[in-house]
Amino acid sequence: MSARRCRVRQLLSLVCGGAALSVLAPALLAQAARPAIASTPGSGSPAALYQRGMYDQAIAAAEQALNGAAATPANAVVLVRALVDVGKPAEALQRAAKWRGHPEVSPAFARAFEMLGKLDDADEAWSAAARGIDSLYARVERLRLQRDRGGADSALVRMNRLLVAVDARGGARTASEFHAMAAASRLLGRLDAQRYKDALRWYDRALVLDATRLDARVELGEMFLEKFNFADARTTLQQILAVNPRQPRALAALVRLNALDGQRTPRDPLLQLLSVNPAGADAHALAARRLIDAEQYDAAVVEARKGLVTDSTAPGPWVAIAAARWLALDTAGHRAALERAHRRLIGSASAEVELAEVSARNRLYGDAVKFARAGVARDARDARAQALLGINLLRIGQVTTARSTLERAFALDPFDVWVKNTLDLLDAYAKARTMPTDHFDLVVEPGDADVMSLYAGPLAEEAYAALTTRYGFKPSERVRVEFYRSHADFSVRAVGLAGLGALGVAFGNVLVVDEPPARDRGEFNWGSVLWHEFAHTITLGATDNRVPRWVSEGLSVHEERRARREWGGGVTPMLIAAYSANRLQPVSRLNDGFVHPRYGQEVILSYGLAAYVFEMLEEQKGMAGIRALLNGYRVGQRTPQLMQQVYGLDSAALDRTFDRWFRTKFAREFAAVRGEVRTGADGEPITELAGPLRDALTAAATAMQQKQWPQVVAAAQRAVTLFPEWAEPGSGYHFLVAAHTALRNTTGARGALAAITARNGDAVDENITLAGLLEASRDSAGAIAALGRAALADPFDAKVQARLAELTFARRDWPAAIRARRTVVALGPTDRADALYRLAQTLAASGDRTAARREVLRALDLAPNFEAAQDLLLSLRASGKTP
Amino acid sequence: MSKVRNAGRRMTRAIGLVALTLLAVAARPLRAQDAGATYLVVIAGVSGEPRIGTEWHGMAMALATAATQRFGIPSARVIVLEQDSTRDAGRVQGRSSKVTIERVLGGIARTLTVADRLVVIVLAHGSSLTGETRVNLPGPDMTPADFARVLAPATAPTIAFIQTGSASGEFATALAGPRRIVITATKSAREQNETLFPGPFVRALTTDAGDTDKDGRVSLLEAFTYAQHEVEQVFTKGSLLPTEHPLLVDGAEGGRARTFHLASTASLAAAASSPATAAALTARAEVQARIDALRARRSTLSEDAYLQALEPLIVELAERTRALRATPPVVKP
Repeated sequence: MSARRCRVRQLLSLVCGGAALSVLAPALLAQAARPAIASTPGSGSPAALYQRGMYDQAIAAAEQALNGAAATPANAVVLVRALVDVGKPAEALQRAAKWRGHPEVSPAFARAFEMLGKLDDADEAWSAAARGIDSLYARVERLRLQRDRGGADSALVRMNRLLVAVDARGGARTASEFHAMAAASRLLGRLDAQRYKDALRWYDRALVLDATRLDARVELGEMFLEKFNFADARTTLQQILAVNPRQPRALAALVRLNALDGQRTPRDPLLQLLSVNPAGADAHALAARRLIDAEQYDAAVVEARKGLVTDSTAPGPWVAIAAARWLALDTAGHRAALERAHRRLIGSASAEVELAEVSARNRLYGDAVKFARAGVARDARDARAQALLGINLLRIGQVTTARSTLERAFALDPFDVWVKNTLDLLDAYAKARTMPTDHFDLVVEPGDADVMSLYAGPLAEEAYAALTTRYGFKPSERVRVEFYRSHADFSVRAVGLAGLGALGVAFGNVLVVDEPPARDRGEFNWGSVLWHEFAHTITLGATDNRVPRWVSEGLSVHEERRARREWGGGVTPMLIAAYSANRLQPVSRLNDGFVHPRYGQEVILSYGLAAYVFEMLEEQKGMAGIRALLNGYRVGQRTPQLMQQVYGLDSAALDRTFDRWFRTKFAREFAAVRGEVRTGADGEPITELAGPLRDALTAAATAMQQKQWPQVVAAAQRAVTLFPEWAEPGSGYHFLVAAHTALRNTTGARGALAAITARNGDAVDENITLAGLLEASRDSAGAIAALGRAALADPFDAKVQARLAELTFARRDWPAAIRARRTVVALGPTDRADALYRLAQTLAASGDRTAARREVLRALDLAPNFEAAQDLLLSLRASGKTP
Repeated sequence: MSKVRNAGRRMTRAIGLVALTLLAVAARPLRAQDAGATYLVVIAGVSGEPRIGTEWHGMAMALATAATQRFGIPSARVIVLEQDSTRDAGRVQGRSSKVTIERVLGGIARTLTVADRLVVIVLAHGSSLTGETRVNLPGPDMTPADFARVLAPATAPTIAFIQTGSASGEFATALAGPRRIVITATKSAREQNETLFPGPFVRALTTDAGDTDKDGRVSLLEAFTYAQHEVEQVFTKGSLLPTEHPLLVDGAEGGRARTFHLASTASLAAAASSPATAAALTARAEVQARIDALRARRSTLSEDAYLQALEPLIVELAERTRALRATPPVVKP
């Protein structure tokens, strides 16, 4: 561990920075140190047109120049490179044929040959280029090609010798040479990770000398992306695309970046990429990957094949086909495609890395382990393969093996932020306590373990009993639930980086959940999250992890709602507005709402909608239908086929049926809310709330500003009549609470608070206030219920627990009183002796004299002269009577 | 010199386990020095903003009231100095300027006998912007060295010095010494945020909240531990990075602070002057000593075995306590 700590400082200088890495220190090398791209040469010149991505114009201008007085190598380079960028390498070779062998044009020829898969010709072209002014760069690229063709580390050894020779002659001098040094160092990082830092330095130097060198900047952006430094990667790519919005490699990197960090750009870079180069192997491989994530495996294969038109051996599309075939349970097709990919990826783990990533994205963590392990077998020095193996072992609960694997990955590449963060987390979490229940191992940080076990254990077992019965499926192993006090730690555990918006993650039989202190009170209910995640355990397990995301999420939210009325969110005005404005996918394509959201709120709204789909399906055919659906997924069937088979609905009928059901169920809400779509400041369409509900809420807000409380009550009452199920902050009920409180109408406030707490499981403070009002009106049963909800949502509130203990004691509800008293003790009160005494008192009252005696002795151990405790002890000893 | 640091909650708990109770102390034949006088000096510095000034004044008054009414310290030995000496006229004896503080503390320090005790509680912001820790007072500030110089004549009596403000850690070094108890809100001069420590510390001393061993009195160690815990809770609950780490230095691993109560020793003498009470107290002290002996062996026993061994001793102690209740009432502070 100490070695890793030491490395962290080095890491900072390379890959830290940005919100995604908020657990680490800010970057020492900021983008500001890197020069912006300078203006391009002569705006109408072929080179300038090329630099700006005006490929057609550049091609025409270059050809015209070559046919006229300006038949220069530079214009030939532009012609070839522009044609390569738009996916016409063969045409490039043909149209610039007379320049073949020219040292200055040869690098462009080499790229064209590589795109065509003619690697011998490419090697020859790099060799020719080595005789020109970019000699060093050409020699590095030639060695890179040799390595890719199976030369493996011997090519890198020669590359290292090359750099040593450059150093010996006084180092690099030109932008081209610094670029070459950077590219070589980046490759040599595989043998010595410190070379990544050299690469960064040399790229910077090359860009200082020639800020227009887009290739170098693209490689820099790709390197940031490889190290999960999303912020610097995005900045770098944006710098490139600001100059050339059609730069193919930058667009491809942006597609990957968006997929990784979840951000969107106004224009889809994949569509842009395909428009620039409709035949690009990378572009079609990326498009196929998207279709795979949308579970359209056959379409993914068709898409990937389009990337094989120019080069039938291109590995990217073959890997995509292998992935699609695997997910479609076509083992033979998978093997065949993978074998084709391996023909080009000699000794490389990159196919397996991609397959492991695709598997993990599709929740097939066991498969991800299998592929990552195969990748390590092919290339043990592939840090990414090692990292994926470790991360996915962790996801399936093999913590010890995962750690040692991650340590190996870190040794190979200490600049992988994901690995570094995860190892740090494992260090910090090493002292966590494991508390077994009948079916779960609850893993909690030591300070919170006693409190969480009192609440999480019973709730987890309740979920187990309920869901295993409903689904007729029991997990094959004990379920490990890890709780995290820090949301950043939770996020690192889930995705390797801080900043994940989710509250819980299910990896099958391993669940990762935020503890209540991880978020501000009122933001979430950890109990509903635990229930939700355990429902995933069931649906993933019942389908061998082949359940589509929208089905798994929909069922999880549906189960939340069934478990407690106040859980699961319920219907909201935004859901109705988005639905009525056609801003949500129809049921038949709802998975896209999760995996390819078109706007920020689409995912969360899709959760809510998907749950209603399963409410409808359960109404139709009960759990038998849902079980049949899950069984079908387990054997590889797809949604359209299953919906037809189980419910007799084709895709169109499914969409129509649900639409009718949803609009009927929420007819009142649809009448109250409209969604109006307008274009936001960033150019993205946004849905705004319109209709009578908005009018009522606006009237309530206006009246409240003027403290016209009767008018607030009237308007808010209209709002809750229009949309009674909505009880999030800002709802009509919240206005009613404020107004009734101001009017000292406790009955009205109580009613509004009761409505909120019955519908909103996050409403801790509202429950506490309600409990106070109910207690004042001598409704102790109601007060206990409200405090119970508050205590479940936030067990760490000592005052709530103490009050709950008193009220339940008075009503002789011993189990509840004992749990509350035990929680107070577990919270580590300053006056521990008193807390133990009160626990003992409650235990004695419940008739558990043995436990009472033990706890009172613990109290007296701390405070021997505690007279009340002494009296209790004497009383316990004196007779069988409870005090 | 040994220190009880905030990370050492475990240690303070351990100390608590071997604590002598007040009554056990009282049961000893009183020595001449036990009857010494206790002085309390409360200094509130420049608040900077009215809210803090009001809070400090409230704390100062609470301490002064508790000193006379709960602890039996004569009002003549309770001195409150504040930035505004006209506030609460009659209860604030002077302005908390350097000159006044030096005069008051210097005067007391020169007159203290070996049996006397001086408690100084400072409610003031500290800073160390110039590299030297200072307590912000009206007019010239004072440094830890200034306080050390003023108190230097009092080498024999017990002095408890509590600086509850920011950047107070340096006091632990500057004022430490034999028969000295120094409590600071921060562990170093670098912790310069407004401190949370003074509120719970004063609450612990002036109410029953800090009496965690249920002996009816609050020791300085109990008050410190209570405040330390309350401060920790604020940071833990809010998932905040702690900006203050309270420190206690008494040269005895907290032992001196554990037996230091603000209650005047004169009241103990009065309690023990009743023969019946003295006998009952002696009997209880003997049981308490056996409990302490058992606690010393605790690490060698399982919890079950320990509690089993503890129970008869506690029962005996409880019976002694009941007997004590039957005797004429003890003068409780």
